[in-house]
Amino acid sequence: MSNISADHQKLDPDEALRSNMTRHLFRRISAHNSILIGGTVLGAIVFMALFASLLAPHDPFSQDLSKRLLPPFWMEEHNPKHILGTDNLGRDYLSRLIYGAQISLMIGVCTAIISGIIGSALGITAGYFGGRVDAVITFIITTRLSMPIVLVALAVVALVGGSLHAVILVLGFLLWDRYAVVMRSATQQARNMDYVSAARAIGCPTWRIVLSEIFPNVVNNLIVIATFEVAHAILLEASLSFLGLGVQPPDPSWGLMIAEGKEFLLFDPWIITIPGIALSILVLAVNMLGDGIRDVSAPENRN
Amino acid sequence: MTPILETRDLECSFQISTGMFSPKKALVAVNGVSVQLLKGQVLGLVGESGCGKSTLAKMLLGLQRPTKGNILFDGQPLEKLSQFERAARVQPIFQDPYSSLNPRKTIFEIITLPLSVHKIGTSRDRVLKAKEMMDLCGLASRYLNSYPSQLSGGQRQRVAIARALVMKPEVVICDEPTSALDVSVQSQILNLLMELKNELGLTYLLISHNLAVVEHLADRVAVMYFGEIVENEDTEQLFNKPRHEYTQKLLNSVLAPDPSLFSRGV
Repeated sequence: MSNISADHQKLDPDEALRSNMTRHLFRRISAHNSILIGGTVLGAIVFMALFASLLAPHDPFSQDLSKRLLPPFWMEEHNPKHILGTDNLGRDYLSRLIYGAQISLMIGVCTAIISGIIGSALGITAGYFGGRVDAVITFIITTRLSMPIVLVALAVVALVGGSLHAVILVLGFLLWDRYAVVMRSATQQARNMDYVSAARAIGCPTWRIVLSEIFPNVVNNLIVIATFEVAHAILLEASLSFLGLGVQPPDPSWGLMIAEGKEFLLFDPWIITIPGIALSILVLAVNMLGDGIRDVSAPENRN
Repeated sequence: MTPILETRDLECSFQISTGMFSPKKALVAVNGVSVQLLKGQVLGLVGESGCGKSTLAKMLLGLQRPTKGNILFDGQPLEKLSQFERAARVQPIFQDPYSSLNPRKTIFEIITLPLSVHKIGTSRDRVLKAKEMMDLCGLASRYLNSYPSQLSGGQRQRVAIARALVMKPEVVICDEPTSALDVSVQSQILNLLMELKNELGLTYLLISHNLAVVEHLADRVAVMYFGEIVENEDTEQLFNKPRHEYTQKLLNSVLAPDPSLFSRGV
C-alpha cells in the first residue's frame, strides 16, 4: 500500500494537470450563461420542492370558502397573508404552487429515468449489434413514433384511472423514442472506432465493451436528452392534468391548477397566469441547462 | 522452419444488398490468400486502398470470420483457440492513434485493459507493469493518469504500442502504424517498433502504403491486388526485380525526388 501512495506522490505534476482540467471545466461552466441561469433557477425550484413543508406558509389542502379567490399581491384588495392569493376553494395559492413543484419535478425526473433506461438499452443494442437486431429495433422505434403520445396516454390513463403513478409509468413507457434514436446513432459512431476493435482483439467480452468502451462515450448524449425529456414530461403531465386525466384533485399539480382556473379566466386571469408562468420558467430552466451541458460536454471542445 | 502464423487459401466475402428486392451480391474482399509469417521476421503487406489488406488483418485478429480457408498459429488452426487465447498471441496496432484510444480512459486504464480483461495480476502489479511498458515504449510515466487528449499523436501511438505489447504477444499486426503521424514522428515510431521487435522477439505483419518504409523494415514483402497475393518475395528481390505487372506499376508510382530537376535550375 505504502508503495502506491509513494507512487501517487511522484505523480504530483500530473495531479496538478488534472486539477487544472477540473478548473478548466469549472471555468467553462461558469462562462456558460445558460448553464448558470438554468442551473440556478432549476436549483431554486428543486430546493422549493424539497423543503415544501417548511417553505409553504399555509396547508395547501385547507379550504376556507370565506376567503375564496383573493387576488395576488400586485392587485388592490389583496390579503397580505396570501401573497399569491387563493383559489376558488380558498386554498393558499403560493402553498399550492410550492407543493405543485414536487409533483411536476417528480413526474419529470421519474419519467426521464424510466424512458432513459428503456430508450438507451434499445438504442445501444441496435447501434452495437446492427444487422437484424437493428432492423427489429428500428421497426419498434418507428412503431412508437407513429403513435401520437397524448392520444395514447389519454387512452391508457382513461383505462387504468388517473394517478401520479399511472402518469409516470405511461409517460415513461412512451417517451423513450428520442433516447433510442440518438443513442443508436451515437453508438454506431462509437462502435466503428478503433478502440472498440482493440478491445475486441484483446478478447474483451461484449458486455464489457458496451459498458466500458461505448457507454462512457455516448453518455453525454444521454444526459442532454434526459434534460429535454424532463421538460417534455412536465409539459405532458400538465396537459394530461388539464384534460382531467393526470394527477387527481386535490393534489396540487401545476397543470391541474391551470385546469381548475380555466373557468375564472375571464375575470381572474392571474389564477391561470401564475402556474402558467411557473411551468414556463421550469421548462425553460431545464432546457437551458440541457443546452449548456451539451455545449460543455462535447468532447471536441475539450482543451 | 515452421511459420508462426500461416494462412491457407484464406477467403472472405461480404454479402452486399443492392436494394430491397434485388438479390444480394457477393463481394470477395480476400481471395485465396496464403502467406507465411516466420518467427522474428517482418512481413510487409502492400497494395492499393480497398485491396483487402485490412480485411486480412481483421481475420488474423479474429475480428472478422473467414468465409473459407484457415489460419494456422504454430501449426494449430486458430479457430480452435478462443478469442481469449488468441488475444494473448496476436495483437494489433492501428493506423489512427486518435481513434484507437478511448478518450474517456486514462493512459493507465488503456494500457492495462488487456491485463484486467484477462485477470492478470493485482492492481498494484498492473501499475508497475504499465510503468514498465511505458518505459519500454519511451513514454514518461507521469502520463500514467493523463487522458489521450493531453498527448500528441506520436505519444498516443506509443500508448497503443504499449497496450498491444502488455500481454507479450508473439505476433503484432501493424495496420499502417505511421500513416496518421507527422513525418518527424514516423521514423521515431518505426525505430521503436524495430527495437521492440529485437528486444522481445516479436514477429510483425506490417501493412503499409509507404513503400520506403516497407523496403526499409520488411524481410519479405507480399503484394496484394484485388484480394489476391500477386507476389511474395524477399524484400531485396522484390524491389530490384519485380515480376508481376502490378508490382512494377506500384513501384513506378512512387514519387522519387528527381535530381535532374535541380541541375536544370528549377
